Formats: sequence, structure tokens, C-alpha cells
Amino acid sequence: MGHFVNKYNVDCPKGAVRVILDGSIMHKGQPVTAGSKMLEGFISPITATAVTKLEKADIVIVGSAKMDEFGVRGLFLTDKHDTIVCEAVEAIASGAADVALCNDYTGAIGAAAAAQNLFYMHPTYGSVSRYGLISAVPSMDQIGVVCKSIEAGAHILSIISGFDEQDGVMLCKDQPTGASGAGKLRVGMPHGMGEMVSQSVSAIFDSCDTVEIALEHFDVCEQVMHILCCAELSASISRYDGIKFGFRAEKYSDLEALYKKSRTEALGADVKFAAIVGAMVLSEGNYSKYYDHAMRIRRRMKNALDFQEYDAVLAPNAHLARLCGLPAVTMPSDAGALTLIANAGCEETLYSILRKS
Amino acid sequence: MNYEIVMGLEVHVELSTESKLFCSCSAKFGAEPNENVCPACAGMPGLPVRINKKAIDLAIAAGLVTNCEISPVIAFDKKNYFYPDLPTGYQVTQLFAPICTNGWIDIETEMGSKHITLKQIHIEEDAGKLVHDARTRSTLVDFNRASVPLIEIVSNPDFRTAEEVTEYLDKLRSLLSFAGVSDCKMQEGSMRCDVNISVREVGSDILGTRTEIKNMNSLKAIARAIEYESQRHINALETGCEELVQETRRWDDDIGMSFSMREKAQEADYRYFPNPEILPIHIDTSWIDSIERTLPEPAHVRFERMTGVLGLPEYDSGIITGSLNLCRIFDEVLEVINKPKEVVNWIMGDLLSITKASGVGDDDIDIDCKKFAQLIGLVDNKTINRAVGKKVLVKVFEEGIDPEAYVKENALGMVSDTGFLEAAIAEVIKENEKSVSEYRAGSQKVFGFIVGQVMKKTAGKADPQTVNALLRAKLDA
Repeated sequence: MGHFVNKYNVDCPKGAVRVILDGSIMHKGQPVTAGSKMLEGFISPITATAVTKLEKADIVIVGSAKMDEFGVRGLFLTDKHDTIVCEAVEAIASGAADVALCNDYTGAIGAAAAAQNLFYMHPTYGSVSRYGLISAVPSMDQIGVVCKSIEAGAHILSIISGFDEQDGVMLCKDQPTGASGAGKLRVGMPHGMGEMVSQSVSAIFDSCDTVEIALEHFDVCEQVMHILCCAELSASISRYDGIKFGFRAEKYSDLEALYKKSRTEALGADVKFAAIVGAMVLSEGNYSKYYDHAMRIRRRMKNALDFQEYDAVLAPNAHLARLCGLPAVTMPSDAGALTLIANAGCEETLYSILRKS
Repeated sequence: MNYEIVMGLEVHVELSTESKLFCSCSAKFGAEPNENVCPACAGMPGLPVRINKKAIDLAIAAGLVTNCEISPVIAFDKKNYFYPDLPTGYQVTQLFAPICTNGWIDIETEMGSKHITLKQIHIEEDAGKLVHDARTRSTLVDFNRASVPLIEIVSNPDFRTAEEVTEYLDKLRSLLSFAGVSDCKMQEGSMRCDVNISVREVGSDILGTRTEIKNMNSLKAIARAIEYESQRHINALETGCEELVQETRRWDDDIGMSFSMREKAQEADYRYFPNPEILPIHIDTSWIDSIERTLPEPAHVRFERMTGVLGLPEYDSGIITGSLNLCRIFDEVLEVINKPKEVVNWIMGDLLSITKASGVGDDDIDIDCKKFAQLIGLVDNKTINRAVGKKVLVKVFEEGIDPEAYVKENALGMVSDTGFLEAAIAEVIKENEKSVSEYRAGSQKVFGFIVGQVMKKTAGKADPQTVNALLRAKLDA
């Protein structure tokens, strides 16, 4: 099985694009677990809109990849050079598939892709339907693609994007596509980024103007991410309670024991930790100190971005992009993964910068 | 010591939407257990939420009829707790940005009218229902009600008597059912009321320890619960026999007592936070206007009009305005027969006695108003007499017959041919000598009986007025 948790028995015509799905994307009738023992034996009741669109475009779905439980591992990397093992990425690296669909809300899949010399392209929040995606952190959940080239990824994104009335948080209309290439594009470099770029991928940006920029609260992105992801995740996984579907402990004396034993036995350490942190930051005495504070910073961060001054921002991780719902491409460089971020709806800006490389 | 009861109400009302708040499952009451359930409302993952616009429309309507301010931007929150009837482990509700705020309702009590102020109305999803099966000692869950849209109407602590509470609930029921917001049936659980109650010395402006009582499913039960609970508080204050604690209590109407469910300290921390799955919704004035245009005349305004301009009795007007369906029937018939008093008499005296006898509630009367009006017309233009009219009405209600055709086919037309009637009168006088002599001896009472005999002889078809006149002439001669 290798990278697969579920490998489809499909014929693949020569030259067809082969797509592997992350373990949280549904395909009706196929098992789907989001990497959790909680969902062992759970069969997708529906097919994700993104998958339906791919199938209509004659793209071959080859199966689904193993994933870490609810994609939460990425929140708990202690060293910034650590990466997760992401089987969807490995599948592309090994050639088992051409493109992978993933929900990289933490940015860790992008980093894992870059470590394999691959790209991870994350579209604007709300541009790809999440119907059929097992939710983890709803304010950041978004299907993106792991790919070998910008062209391959852009092709898949163009197919799966677009309004879907079955997802209540979608961009209603086609957004402006951003800079049309008149004049040199300007890439904003937060403090310290300049050195990273000069060592590694400066070639990419040779055709751009680079401007040093100060981003408010940029230094606390990671903490804000942690608080918000844990808070939302704690609620998203509450439905896995052993009552209606999924795992239930064998022996329990009463309702509370049913809850506790089922969740104790089926949820992994990272998820438990995230749920506890989430409950903590939302609890009565902590809400304004942690959750609400993080939300305020998130809003200020977004408001502080000024895409009049620059067309894209280069960052050492994807936090800013995820927090602000912006399209981003995470790419390899000598200095580790770098993430290029554009204004909402301006995926084309990213493509035109990166195609020049 | 004189005590004052201070109460605030939380009223939950199920909205009359066709479908649930986030999916297309039917929201109707009375289906088989778990018949109206889909992956979304069963809490399965992978299904993003889409909000039912009709629920927002109805919540706006509720705000309009209770004089609330409608918020220009509303948002939804997650209230987190585990319970088997809650499929997702959180309830979608509105804590931070409710749809309506600062409303009021005036109610009439025996002490005069009273102004009740509302803190807010918010939208939330209902939970499922647990069914405890004593035989197998197990608990079953029915998700039909899960995610049915509700509004919670939160009042300020303005109530002082049980009468005020029941009057308020009755007024609320009338306002909301007229506006099509909800059918407000307490027995079916589409209207539920929690009472927050405390007691203090008269003149004090400090609130006493508050308890919340739940689980009353009729106005009578609410009145009994308030009586019991306020007395419990007063006893506790006077005798010190028990310490009052802030808690939620369950009313048991069979036993007539309230029982502690949980104390404040045991209450879960619900960890409310803004629901990231539903974007804030902007409600502009054109949206509000479009709802306002669809609202029917409220019951109390209609009552004023009926008792005022139309000159109808208060009792009759009260019955008609007690049901939106009766109002509709009244309006539709009045459109054809423009005689309000006549129409009300037919509804009150005839239609309602027929429907009551067959156990049909006012809201469920289903009658063809065109035929009803046609029938009244037949009596009005003396084609048939009133007694025949009443019999024909039964046929209209039960079988939907066409009154004009029916009267013709069954030759029910009123007889006012004096020759024919005089012959009948002569026969009756001959057959009832005793009564006739009693009448002539001065008994007016017996006159009605003799008229009845004539009507009987003519198979009820005689014109009573002509019979009266002819009979008087004959007997008094």
C-alpha cells in the first residue's frame, strides 16, 4: 500500500493526470478516517465537490493517502526545521501520483512538500468548496494541492475552484485576479527575509522589485495560529463522541464513561493535547485573554497588509497566509521552505512571479 | 413580611420553516423517529453548513411584531457541551450578536395593562430528543428535532405575578402565530418556557437568589410552578428551613413540585466562541421592509378594528382574533357578504358549534369560504330559512356540497305561500287544541311551541316571519 490508506483499482490512461486524496477528503462509498481511529470503518456518505469536478474533467483519482490525525501534527513541531511525514507528499515525490489534494491548515504539509523539492499551492480561503472535506479548523480549512510544478498545480486548482452552494463559506463571485503583469511586480520582504532570499532563491525574484516591509504582529503568528487552531479543533472533534458513528469503547458503566473511554481510546495524543488547549483558551476565565486576543491580532494582521504597496509577501512559513485566508505557494529553497503570499483572489500574481523562475 | 415575586422568561419557539436550519431535512413535527435525518443533521463530518434564509426571515418577523430593533449584522456562535441529543457536540446559537434586541409587548391583566420589555431574541438550533425505554433499560435518541430552527425570546425581569406570565405567553403566541413565525403549540413542544424566579421584600431593589424552572408544558402548569416555587422561596426566607441556591429546577406537574437539576457551580462552562463556519450576515432595511410587508394585521389591532369600526361584540371579536384561521374565514366570507355582524353570527353560532361537536380546533377548520358565503347569502335573500341554513352548513363543512344546488335538489327553498301556510296553520290549531286554549288564556310561552308545530308540518321550510304573522292573526282573531 505504501503511501496509500486506500488504493483504488483504476485504469489510468497514458498521459492522464493522477490525483491522490488526503485522508480527509470524501469519495462516496470509500472509507475515510482523517487519520483517526475515531473514524475507523466510517464510509464517506458523499463525494467532495472538488473530487466530483476532477472526475468530470477526466482526471484519475488513484486513492487516498495516510495522514496524521486530523492534520494536527503540524501544530506541534518543536523545531522549526522539523517536518512532518506526509504520505500525500511522499506519493508525489515517489511518482505514485502527480498531484495531491490536501488541507494544509497548519502549513506543515507545504513545508514537507518543499523538503521534497515540491510545491504546495493553497488557494484563497473560500475558493474551493469544502463539501466533503472533514473539517478540522473551519476558519482555515481549505483544499490545496501538492504538485511538481506551478503549472500542474494551477491546472488542478482551476478545475476544483468555483462557487458551490453546498459550502456556506465561499467567495460568491469570481474575485479579481490581481496584477496583470504591467510593470515589475513588487515582493514585500518582512524584516529578516532579505538575507534568506539572497542565499537561496534570489533568482526567482530577480525580475521583481523587493521592498522591505514591517508587518504588525508578524512575530506572534505562530502563537495566534496555535490558539485559534486548538480552539476550533476542540469544537470540530466534539462530534466524535462514540454515540452516533465511529469508534465506541467496548465497556462503559454510564454515559460519561462512554464519552471518556471512547475518546481516550480513539483519539491520539496530539489531538487530545489540541482539544485540551482549545478548551482551555475558550474557557470562561481565559476567553478574552487567549482566544479573543488572538482573534483581535488576527484582524489587525489582516488589516495591516497593504497590497497597494506590494503585490506579494514572502514569508518563512504559511501562518500569515492561513490566518488571513490568502492564496499562497510554499516552495523549496536552500534555506528551507518559503511561502509566497498574494492578496485574496490574486493567485495569478503568484503564478506570474514563480513562472519567471 | 410582604414579598414580591420577580420573574424573567426565556421562551423557546420553533420556527415554522419547511426545512431545518442547515440542511434540507423536513422540520415538521410528528414523523417516525429518525425519519428526518441526513448526514449533516446527524453530525457527520464533511458537510459544511448553509443557513436557511427562511429562519432569518421568521426571526426578523418575530422581532417586528415584538417591537425589537433588528441588528444590521448578525453572527452565530458555538456553545460547546456533550449530550447524546446534540449531534455535533456544540449548539449553534447567537451569544455575541443576536438578531433582535430591546423589544416590548403590552399585556392586559386584571390590574390593568403592563409594559413588558424584551432583552433580545436570538436564533439557535434545537437538539434531538432522548427516549428512555424502561423495558430494555436503554436510552434511544431521535434526531428529527436536531437542527430545527428556534428562536429564544429573552425578557427582562419584569413579571410580578403568574397572571402576567400567562397573559404574556398568550399574547406572544398570538403575535407569533399571526406573523407565521411559529405554530406555538406548547403540547408539541414548539413553544417552551423557562421561568427565572426570585423573591424579595416589597420595596427592596436588590434581587433575591434566583432559580430557573423548566419543563412546564401548559399555561396552567406554568402558573402552578410559579405558585409553588415562589412559595418555596418565601418559606425558605421566612423559616430558614432551606438555603436558596442559584440553580436550575425541573417542574414535575404530576407531583406538583420542583426538583433541583443542577446548581450554578455544577453548570458546564460552555466555551462559547464565534462560529467560523457561518459568515456574519448583513440585514439591510430593504430585507426588513420585505418581511414587514408580508405581516398580517396583528390580533390586537384587528380586535380594535372589529370592536370599533365594525361594531362587533368584544366576546365574538376575541374568539375570532384568537385564531388566524378564523380571521381568514371571517375575511373571506366578509368579502362576499359585507355584513360583519351577520358573518360573525354565522361563525360563532353555527360554524363553531359544528366544528366543536366534531372536535376540530379553530386553527384546523377547513371550509370552502365561497360556499359558506353563498349559504349565508341564501338565508339573507330568504331563499331558505335560518334553520335550514344551519343544516346545509353542516353539509358544506362535512361534505363540501354546493349550497345552491343542494337546496334546489332537495327542495329546501323557503315557503312563504300564504295559502299553503294557512292550511298548515289550520291543521296545527286543530291538532293542538290544548295549547291553543292556553295561548288564548294569556300564555305567551306556548306560542313558540305552536310555531314549532307549523314549522314541523312544513318540513322546516316555512318562512318563520310569515308563519308568525299568520298565526298571530289567526289566534288573536
